[in-house]
Amino acid sequence: MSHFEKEILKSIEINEIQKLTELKNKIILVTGGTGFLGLWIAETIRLLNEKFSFNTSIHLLSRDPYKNIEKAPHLFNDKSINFIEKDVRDIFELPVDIDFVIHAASDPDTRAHSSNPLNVIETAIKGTDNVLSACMRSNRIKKILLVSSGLVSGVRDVDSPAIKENSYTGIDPTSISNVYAESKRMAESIAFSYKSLYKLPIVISRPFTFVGPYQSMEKPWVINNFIRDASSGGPIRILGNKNTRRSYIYGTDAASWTIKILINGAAGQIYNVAGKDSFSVQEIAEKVQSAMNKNVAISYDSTNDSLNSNMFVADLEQSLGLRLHQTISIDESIQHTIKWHLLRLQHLKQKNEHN
Amino acid sequence: MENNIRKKILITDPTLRDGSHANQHQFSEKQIRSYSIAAERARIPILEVGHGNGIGASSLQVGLSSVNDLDMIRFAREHLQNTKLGIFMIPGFATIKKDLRPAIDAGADVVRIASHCTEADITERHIGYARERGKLTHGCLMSSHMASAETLIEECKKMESYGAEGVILMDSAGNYLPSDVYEKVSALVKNIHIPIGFHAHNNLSMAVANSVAAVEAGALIVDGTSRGFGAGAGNTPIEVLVAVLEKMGYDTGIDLYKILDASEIADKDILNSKPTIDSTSIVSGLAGVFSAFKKHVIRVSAEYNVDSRDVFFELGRRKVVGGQEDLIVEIAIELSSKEKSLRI
Amino acid sequence: MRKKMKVAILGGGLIGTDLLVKIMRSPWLECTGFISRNLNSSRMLKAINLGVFVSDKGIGAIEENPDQYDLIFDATSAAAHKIHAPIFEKLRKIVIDLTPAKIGKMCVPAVNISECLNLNNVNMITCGGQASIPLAYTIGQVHKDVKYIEVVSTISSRSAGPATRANLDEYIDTTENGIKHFSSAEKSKAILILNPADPCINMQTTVCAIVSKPEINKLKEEVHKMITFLKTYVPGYELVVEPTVEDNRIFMMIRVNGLGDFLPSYAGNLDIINCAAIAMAEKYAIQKYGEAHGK
Repeated sequence: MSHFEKEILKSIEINEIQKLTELKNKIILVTGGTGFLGLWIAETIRLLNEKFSFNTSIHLLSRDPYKNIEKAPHLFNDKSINFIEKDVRDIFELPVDIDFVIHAASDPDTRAHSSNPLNVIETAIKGTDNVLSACMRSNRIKKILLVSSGLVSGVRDVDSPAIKENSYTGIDPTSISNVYAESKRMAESIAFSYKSLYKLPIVISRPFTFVGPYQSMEKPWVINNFIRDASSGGPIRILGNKNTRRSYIYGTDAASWTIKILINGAAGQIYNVAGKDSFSVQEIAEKVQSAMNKNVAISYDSTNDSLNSNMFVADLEQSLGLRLHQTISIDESIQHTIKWHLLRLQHLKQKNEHN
Repeated sequence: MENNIRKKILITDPTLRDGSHANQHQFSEKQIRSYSIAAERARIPILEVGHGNGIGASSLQVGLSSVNDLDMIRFAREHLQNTKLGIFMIPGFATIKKDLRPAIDAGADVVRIASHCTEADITERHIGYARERGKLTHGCLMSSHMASAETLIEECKKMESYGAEGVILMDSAGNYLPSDVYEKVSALVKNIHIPIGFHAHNNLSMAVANSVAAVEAGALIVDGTSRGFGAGAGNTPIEVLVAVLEKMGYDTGIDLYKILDASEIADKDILNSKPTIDSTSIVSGLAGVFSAFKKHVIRVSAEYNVDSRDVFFELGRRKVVGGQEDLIVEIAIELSSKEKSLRI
Repeated sequence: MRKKMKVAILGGGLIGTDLLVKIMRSPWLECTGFISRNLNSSRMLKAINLGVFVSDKGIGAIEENPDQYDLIFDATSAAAHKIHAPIFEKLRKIVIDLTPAKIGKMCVPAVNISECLNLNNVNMITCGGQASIPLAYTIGQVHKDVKYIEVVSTISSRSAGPATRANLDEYIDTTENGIKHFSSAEKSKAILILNPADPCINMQTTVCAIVSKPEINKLKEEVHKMITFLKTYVPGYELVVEPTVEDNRIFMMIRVNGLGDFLPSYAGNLDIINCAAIAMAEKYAIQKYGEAHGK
């Protein structure tokens, strides 16, 4: 049985399951297969196979597929899921039997951007070039999805309107913290070049902010950091600007949207992937605080609130055109995430005591 | 005052080029001369001549011409002063060395380089060559109904970057409805700096309406032929187009009486078969198949005793592009053997 | 230990890499060098992965170690081959040229393989040439007075890279020359059409001819013989319309489904020129080491 059955069933919107039937008996390759999105796609496919006899196979390509084995052992034991240990920077061929490709390999971890920016660039640019060049030589692949990032559209002030897929501001190339956004922008350029030159059926998704299980506690994302702070007795520490706004989307929704964009999105089109409402960092901290039911304090550690107050909020009109809906609210997202982290902490503790 | 200046629309007349499809590329010297004289009199800005698929395309595949392209150019050239002489060329059929260079040497003023609507990158060298020779150069995207507005923008931008001074959207199959034309032309006008043009076919009786929609969406170049003489169900009748644009308040620079005279001359001297919207044309328009396939489909279908409409729909299903006339024979043979096996 | 002919591939593009995969399968050929100008490509990784010696020194790699190679496939560009050809000549290497440089003798294995065996530089013409010349040649063999031959090839857009697109004029010129040379037709014409349909179409080629008196039965017989032979080195070559007389012209159509080695199977146009190059190289190897050897 799937571990996240209820949420996944909600996210795939069973009354519209016919929109996914094109996946039946097909084979999908996901690069970045053991990342957050890759694991949730695998969970979703697994459920489609179990509950709706989709008979879909999935190759999860990852440079370190065993890193997450203890988080999701059920995926590693599933016969329809095949792990390929490979770095997209060194790919020259893909399995010959694949029908769909989701290219999600990248390193969104801001720590890597600072400490190994060239790696981030190489993964985005060379990885995308390698994957698309291999796709070009297939006569079986029906659609390719490049998972880009909402960051390519540039930085905005907190009171700007929601970001549409065709609206851009600049990105400061002199800041190392922008290598991810810049290289993702280039990856999109590469994708459009392959589309123009070789008529590859490429569609692009631009995720904004993910939330949910499989994000490690130590990763520098707001929600899991707050959960970590609260679970260890607080205070919940807000670093930087508390007014920064983001639109969060839960793992199962993100995976369903990604799969639907892959199948139903038009080649050459771009679709934002994000929750419909936006929340400030302050509001998220308060939500975590009340959900964990603890009297933990919220502390602020910022020099100047008027600085760097920006927004990362998606306009969803284009995605609504594909009938993509957020089915897991921010409150549910936070609750599910907390539950998963607490269970994991317990599990890890037991394991340590055993040893 | 500025409001009183009527917007200029550039009309190109490919009667002696697209019309070649209608008479199986059998224009005579006399016909070419007589229509060129009429075009000059009517002050038609550009008169296009040559094989239906452009210079250098005379072949068994799409039809052999009776008068070769260079002679056609020479005959027309002798009668044109104010009217510019245009030629049309598809890379893959013709080359610079064999065809384009001699055609320009023989006196072509305006050069149109065409490709299937998704393949603009094959036109780079040819557009470049025509520009280098100082000729007014337009790019043409054929069978444009087969690509989305986004793709057409991209392909137009390629042609623009190669040096095209205008891009003509061709409805080679006569498949568009006015709303399609409006959507695509306005998308191009919004995104492309150079003038956009439109070339209609009349399979669904939409040629004039589609040309009007193109102009309303911002097209600055429109094609029309005398009495609509052209491939398949024919093109936009130039005499109607001039009248309608006049009524709408556009300036075509063409003398209405003289263009009416020109079409009378065409009617009398060159229209050996008048373009009509017959069953095959309707089916070909619906199936989205290149209009120039018509005569070949009718001939081959009769030879193999199959329904030409079935042939058209099968061609449409296979998404054929201009120049794939050889597939007609394969499909007819396939259909006829299927029918035989049914009879047994 | 059986002896194989040592061959180098010069040019690490799609064509070169597909040749490499084909050589790995050959009982008569051994790739002793996969040579390009740049080690940093996924195709080089593929070669390394296959255990082949790779170099980024271009022609320099061959000049440094001439004894490592008996035969060279030149899959660079026409301009580069013009520089390479005299060097190969000095080193006394056999060269199979896949560029349109037009230096060596035009080679179509199904037609003139024996003649080419005595030469050290042969040219593979064009993909459309490899597909159509065997048929044009057959028409010329059956009919004394071939007035005109026309070949129309349609290929999928995806199989036409930027170099193919930029060089349509050269393609037409080279193919027309080849057709005339091998068929003795008075005139020839080549047409190339790109079709963007998805899924990709296989390469198809139609050959039309005008002769004063078509000998269609004899032609059918000879065409079938020719295709049987062709299929020994291009397995995906299929006759889809038998030679027939339609509208006073001889008409026949073939389709090439590629082997799908490194290039996808729809790229029959690229496959056929590589298959022809390999067939020629194997013949050189057999000449050198004897037929029984590779078995």
